[in-house]
Amino acid sequence: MSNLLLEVENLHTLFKLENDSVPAVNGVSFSIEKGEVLGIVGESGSGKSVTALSLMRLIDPPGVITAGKAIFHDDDKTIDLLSLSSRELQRIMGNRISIIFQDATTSLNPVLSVGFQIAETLRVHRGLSRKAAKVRAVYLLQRVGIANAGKRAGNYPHEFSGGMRQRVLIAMAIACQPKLLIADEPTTALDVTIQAQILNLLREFSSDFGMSTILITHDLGVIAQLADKVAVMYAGRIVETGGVNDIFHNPQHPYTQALAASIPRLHEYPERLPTIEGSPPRSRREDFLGCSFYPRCSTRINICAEKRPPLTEILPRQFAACWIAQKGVFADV
Amino acid sequence: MLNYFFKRIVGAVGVIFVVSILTFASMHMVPGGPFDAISLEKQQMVPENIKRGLNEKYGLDAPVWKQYVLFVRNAAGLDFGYSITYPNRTVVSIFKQQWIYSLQLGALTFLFSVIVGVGLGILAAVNPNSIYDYLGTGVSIFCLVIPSFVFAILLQVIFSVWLGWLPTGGWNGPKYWIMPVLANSLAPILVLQRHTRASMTDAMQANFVRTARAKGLSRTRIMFVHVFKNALTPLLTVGGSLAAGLIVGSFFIESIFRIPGIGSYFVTAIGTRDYPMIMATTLVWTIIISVVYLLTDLFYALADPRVTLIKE
Amino acid sequence: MSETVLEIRDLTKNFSSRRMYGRDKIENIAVNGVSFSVSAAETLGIVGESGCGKSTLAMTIMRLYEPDSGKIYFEGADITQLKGRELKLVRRRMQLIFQDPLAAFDPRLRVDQIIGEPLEIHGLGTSNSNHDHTAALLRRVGLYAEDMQRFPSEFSGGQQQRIGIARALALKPRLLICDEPVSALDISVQAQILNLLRDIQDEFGFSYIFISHNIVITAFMSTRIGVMYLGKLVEIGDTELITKSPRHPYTQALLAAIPEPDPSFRENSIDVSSEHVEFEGSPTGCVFRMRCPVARDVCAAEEPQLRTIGDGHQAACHFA
Repeated sequence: MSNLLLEVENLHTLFKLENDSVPAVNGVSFSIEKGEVLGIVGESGSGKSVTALSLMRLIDPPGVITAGKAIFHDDDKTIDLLSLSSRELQRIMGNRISIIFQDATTSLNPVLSVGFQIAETLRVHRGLSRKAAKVRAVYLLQRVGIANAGKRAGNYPHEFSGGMRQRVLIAMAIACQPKLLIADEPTTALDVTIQAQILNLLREFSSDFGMSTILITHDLGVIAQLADKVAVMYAGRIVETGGVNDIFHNPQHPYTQALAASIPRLHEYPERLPTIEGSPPRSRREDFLGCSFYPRCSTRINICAEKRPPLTEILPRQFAACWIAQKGVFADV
Repeated sequence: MLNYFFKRIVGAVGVIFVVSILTFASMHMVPGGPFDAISLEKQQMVPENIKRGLNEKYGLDAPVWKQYVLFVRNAAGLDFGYSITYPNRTVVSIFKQQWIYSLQLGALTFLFSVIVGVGLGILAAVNPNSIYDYLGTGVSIFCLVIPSFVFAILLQVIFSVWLGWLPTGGWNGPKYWIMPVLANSLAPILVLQRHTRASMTDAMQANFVRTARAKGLSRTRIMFVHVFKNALTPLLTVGGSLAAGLIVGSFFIESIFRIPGIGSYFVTAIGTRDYPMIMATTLVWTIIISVVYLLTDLFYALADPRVTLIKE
Repeated sequence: MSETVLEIRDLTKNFSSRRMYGRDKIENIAVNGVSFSVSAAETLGIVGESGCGKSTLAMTIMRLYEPDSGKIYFEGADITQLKGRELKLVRRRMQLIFQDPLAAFDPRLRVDQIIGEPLEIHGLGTSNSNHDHTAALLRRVGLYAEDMQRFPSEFSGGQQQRIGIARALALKPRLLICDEPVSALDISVQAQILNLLRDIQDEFGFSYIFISHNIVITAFMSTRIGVMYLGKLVEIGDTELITKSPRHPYTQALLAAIPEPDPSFRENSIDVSSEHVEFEGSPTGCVFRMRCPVARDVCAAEEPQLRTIGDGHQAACHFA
């Protein structure tokens, strides 16, 4: 009996703009097991958010998912998320798979009470009566750490602080005990002390009811603290993936290495921080056949400009898309 | 809260005063008096001594400022005097008897405009760039471009003169309501359609709609439970000012269709320099608009939980 | 002992307002009696979370907000009440770098006009006559002279911030206040900008006030760090002291909350209870007591003042 929960195969999402089409997600494949936390890390333009939105089919024109499969192994059946009808999809969303977004402030409906918005999921997906749903909503608010939950359930979003709104969103997302939670930059907009509390919450839920989490962020610290497995994205593709300890202690892709090296650490005061030249790509050149990291890579060789390296297993259970990594250059012998 | 109301009322009273002074002044600055108008009507000059006598009777020989003071004193006691054009009727009684027609016209117009305007706006927003959207825009442009009085006359020509289906004027039953209401609704429909569409589109693009979708809610539920409430509250402000305008009647429509409402009486009053009538109507206008605006603010604060009334 | 470039004493700025109904005053003391000094060629980091008043502090020091009380001494002179031409002369020596570079530019101006504008305002020539100076500045911040003719929207976030830095350098200021200069940038670009800021400081010798919510970056950039909470300066001292042995409970919580980018060190809960409890205005006594794990009665009764607990190290806590 496999432990796999979700298998994403060759996802492609395109944005058709005036002059050209931008492949925001350019052939992404990954899998996540039951109860696992997968961290997807990348900078702007990496396609990490678009990947999450694509899985939930929340991509609107001019964006369109052009290829790929997302095989979801639910308790009783196996389905491809990307080929479901909208009705079938609605039954899954908020129920078996939930997603929370970065901006908690605008993600809640300002004219409906918080309790209503949480209870709604329960009424629609679990058929709970208004009263029963309300009771459970109050319980959920308590569970996510909101004091005075009974009274607060009747309050409106603007009566909560940023961190509390994020907790409300989490309560809403886990109300139906989903198998998978996708969290897109859940703590980026929050203060660091609040962030720590929210991350604790997520960790709790992950272990408490065996919920898998896809955690999307640009913050390496958050990944290090929460993830079991990591996928590093750059320019619409996964460039490295592996267990969190391997990725941090023995990264195989030059981008991962450079990224980790360029963040300042406490108690380390180098004269200068190591940097990556240039900036993450804003547009993609269709005609360039080489590795997308080529312009900024400090260890590139000729073949890197001619042929794009595929994601290959460099070390046991650690994959990287890099020609020189394949030569074992970075492997810790 | 009381403090806020008090301030608003004081403000409104101030506005009323200013408006009354300005109206009074302009009224008297316009050449000719009420009796010159009668002369024009009867096509013969009113003899001087009779004119002087009439002027005295109506207190028009006193200096203007004195007339104003007298006016204010009487107005405070709701005594606006007798109409000059209809010497047997007090202004107040004219209002009492004729306002009902303006209100009826206004109510019907409001109802019709809301149904058509908001309806078209919602259709357009929910189906952007579709036939409904273009229909809505088309109707709006029509309403924008054609003035209500031109449209009114057009309707009369087509439906009364050519086709003979509808009466040209009067207010004696449903048949008489159709054309005036249609013509009167042009501006309100335009305003409501455009605002509704914009408001709905904004609400539909909000992040919380994305959250609602992520919760697996059906499109219908999202529209009715989540989007509408957010989209319609801003319409309150628009609706408020529209309502204010409709309560006081329409000059053009009432005149063209010979509806005996306050609007047409006002038009007559200006022509005949019926000072008491003019002053009273202007005052009523100002009070109604102030009250409606105040109520709109109140309703807005009640409808949208984020809004509280705070002093800057 | 190097020269003091900036000193502020008991600086206060509040944005209180009054409700329409009831007699409640909505108190909002953004900056509440803050004092510190900045020496030549040093970087003072100001760290704090949202609502602590650090941005308001920057604006008040620059006199973009009028202080409600307290004093500002710049290069020895009291500039708190200066107006007109005298203030303008002072403004040449103090510059600000903003968090959102694009929002800080007039989108209809070209890069050379943006950089040349401060020079023009202070009567130091026009964008044309300053062409060479502008080109040099652009090169110094890592851009090209040709970029002068382009518009800021054509650049990436990191490049836009470089333009902002070039503009700040144009007048050769003495003090640069950087308000979250890298928070809006990608991580790989942040390092570039931080390096640039260090380089130009080494070259030109000015002082920085480096404001950020990220204490790790602040520690990297600063010689000294001040920690703010709800408008008050709760701890200040040398970077090493603050990061290795913080004495104020809030600083300790802040440091404990940082997610360590090393999976071998996984922490659990931090000891900061709940959140900003929702009330308007600051509580009586210590501003932090509602969330403090070691708060006692005296904390509500008496507001702790900043007192010296070590060499150049001050903390505002009864138990530090």
